[in-house]
Parts: sequence; C-alpha cells; structure tokens
Amino acid sequence: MSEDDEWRAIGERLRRTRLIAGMSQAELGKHVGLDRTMVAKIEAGTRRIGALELTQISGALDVPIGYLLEPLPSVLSRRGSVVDEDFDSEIAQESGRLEIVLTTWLGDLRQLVDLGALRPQPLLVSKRPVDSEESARAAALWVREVLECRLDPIDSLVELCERAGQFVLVTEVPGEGASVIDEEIAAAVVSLSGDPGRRRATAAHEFGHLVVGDEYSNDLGVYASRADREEVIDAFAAELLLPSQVLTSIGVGASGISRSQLVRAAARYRVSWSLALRQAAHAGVLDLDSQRAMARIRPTRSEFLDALGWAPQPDLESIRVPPNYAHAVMEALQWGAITPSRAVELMRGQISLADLPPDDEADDEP
Amino acid sequence: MTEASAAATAPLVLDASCLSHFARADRLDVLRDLLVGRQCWTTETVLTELNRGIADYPLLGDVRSQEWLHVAGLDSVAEIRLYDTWLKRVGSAGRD
Repeated sequence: MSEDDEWRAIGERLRRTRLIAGMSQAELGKHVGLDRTMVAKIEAGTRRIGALELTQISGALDVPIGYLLEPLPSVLSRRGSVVDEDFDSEIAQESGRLEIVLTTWLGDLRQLVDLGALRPQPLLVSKRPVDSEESARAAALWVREVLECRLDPIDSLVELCERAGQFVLVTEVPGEGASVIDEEIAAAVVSLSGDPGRRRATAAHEFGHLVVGDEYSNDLGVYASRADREEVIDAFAAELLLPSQVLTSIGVGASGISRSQLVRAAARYRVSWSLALRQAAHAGVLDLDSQRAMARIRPTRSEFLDALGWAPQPDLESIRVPPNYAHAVMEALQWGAITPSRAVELMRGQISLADLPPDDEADDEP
Repeated sequence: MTEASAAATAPLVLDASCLSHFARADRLDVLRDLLVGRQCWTTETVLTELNRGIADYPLLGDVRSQEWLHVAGLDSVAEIRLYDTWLKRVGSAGRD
C-alpha cells in the first residue's frame, strides 16, 4: 500500500472511531488543539500527522494508537460491522465501543502469542451442525463432557472458556458481549454492567458462538434476521450454565419443583432468576402458571445467600482476564519482553504496579 | 576506532531541559560552540514541549530556528508503526 493509501485508511479509521465516540470533528479538534477543517483533512487523508498528534488524537478518542494504525482483523472487515454507517444511535455506538475493546483485546492476545508467552488451547468447535435449540442444548452437554464438568456448577466461566481456547476479557465498557475467532485465537469480551447472573449468561452466550463456529458476533444491535440464531445460542448458554437434567432430578414427582428448590439451584449454579425459570419450564418441572407466578416475585439477594448457607461467593468483579493469560503476562515481564507499566496495562486493572515483583536489575550488579 | 573515540564523535540527542536552559539565557550560540564538530539532534516531541512554555518564556521559540540542530520526526506510517511496537513493549497508560 502506498503512503497516500495508508494515510487515507488511517483517516477513515479515525473518522469511524470518532463517530463511535459520538464526537463531532470540531469537538475532537478542541480536545487536541486543532481546527475543525484540519480534522476533516486528516480524516480525508490529505493532511499527514506525526506520532505526537496521532497519540493525542487516539488519547482523546480513548483508543490505543495501534487501533488507528492497523486495519481491522480480516474477519471483522469481511463480515462487516453491525455498526456500519449508522453511528447516530446509542446502540450502534455501544456496539462500536465493544468492537474496539474486542479488537484491542485480540491485539494483546496476539502480542503474547507472538512473544511465545501464551499458547492457546485448540478451539472447541462442535463437529455437528448446531442449527436448532435442541442441537444447541446437545452441544452444551457435549462441552460439559469434554471439559469434564459433569453436571456440577461452573465456578469460573473465564477459566472454562480458556480451556476451550477462548480468552474472555471482562470490560467496563457498557453493553453485553462480543466475540471473534481470528485464526488460532478466539477472543471474547463481556461487559461488567448488569448483575453477575446476566454477566455469566453473556459469557456463556459468547462461548456458544465459539462452539458453533461463528467467526464474529457482536450481541448489541442484533437485527431481526439474526434473532433466531441468537435464540439458539441462548439455549446453549442456558443448558451450559444450568443443565435441565439438574432440575429434573430435583423436581421429581407430580408437584414439580418448588420455589425454594429453584432458588437454591439458581444460587448454586449462579444464574439469573429468569434463566432458572426458563430452564425449569424446559425441563418440564414447572408449569406455565407457576412460572408466571414465580416470575413476578424475584428472590432477593438475601434469599440467594441464605440458600447457600451464607458461604462467600467468588467475586467476579475482581477477575478481568483469564488465568493463563495473566500467567503469560507475568512470563513476558520476567523475560524482559515488556515493562511493568505494560504488564499492568495488559492485566486490565486486575493488578497495579505495586502488586508486581520489585525491579531486580539491582541483582545484576557484580 | 576505540570506544572512547567513537563516543566522542557519535551524534548527540538534546533533551528539553538542556535546550530550555540555554534558550532562556539567550545563549543557544554558546551551546552550538560547545558542541561544534558534533551532529546535534532533537525530536519534534521535545520542540512541542518547549513550545508550551513560549507564552511565559518567549526565547524558547528560538530553539526551532537553530540551523545546527537537526529535528527528528516520527512522520511516516512505517516510523509510527515502529513507535507503536515500542509502546506495546513499554506501555502507554497515562503518558502524553
């Protein structure tokens, strides 16, 4: 690509990123001390800028400089973003922001793989076609079998996904989730917003996209044509988190499952009340009237905690990156391939500089 | 060439503090004379940093016009990519 073409492409990416950030050219210009017409020329690729200006612009847009420099991963550009040109709506901007987080996450994973610090597991993709809710539920049980979860609650979804080859990042960017498969690397991002049950459902949903072999998904702004497909993935997620068989074994007999039994199951398997109700109905242990009645009275947090005997629950808030990824960051730091500042950046707020081992350069003294 | 003689002829890269002190004393000519025979460089980033102080110290504006001082920029896409590669090793959080 010629230098002119490169600058045009950078300008276009800049324009797109600015729109996702919901900024006008004048607003961006004000942030970085440039005139609006200058911003327009940069976006058109007719005015070139230096590293310093590009750094200021990327800072104002809250993206790494590499995001403006490099083309989107081919799978994202090939599939076409769900954002496309409709950046005005809040939902498209939210989708775009998740796409930025996903692309950056993929880039960081690629860096650690290229350094030899991170070795992704082979991707766990179903060999059978998954095109109905029934086949999606079967795929979830197959995953449980392969990953030796049996019918137990899944403690750490992030760890489970990593074992299946998908690296999940928990992000503060609002929205739901997004995922991508780029050659041997599968990456997913899940928003921290919402309650833990919803977060786990989103993570399981993105995992579903990997298992059924979807190269790219961004679950905000899902168009009607894709709604059926998302239903199939949701069935996978529900069955993965709380297998129907667990509920049928509890709700035996004519009366089915009681509210307190279902509260306890939802608490143990850490799923939302609506997911538990949906699974109970699917398992045939809850009739429609009881489902409606129970949906109206959501259990309180204390009810959930009481069902678990007030045992402390793993805190999902503090986990942002998968365990092997975190270990790879520490390895790269030990090798001197990255600095402590970069290590903290890669850990996405899970640790601070003070948590890292002290600089051992002094040990090199004779 | 010995290590010492190589060091004596290697180009010099001047940081903001050195340039700022000589500029504010209006003696950039002295700095030039001290370093005569050496190739002197600074960066566009250093000049931008000095520019921020021009309102308070107008003499800082003279640095850019010194013909003996070469300015290295990071302007081509290939150069900026290398800069990005470097950032991905050292980190960029909270820096300007």
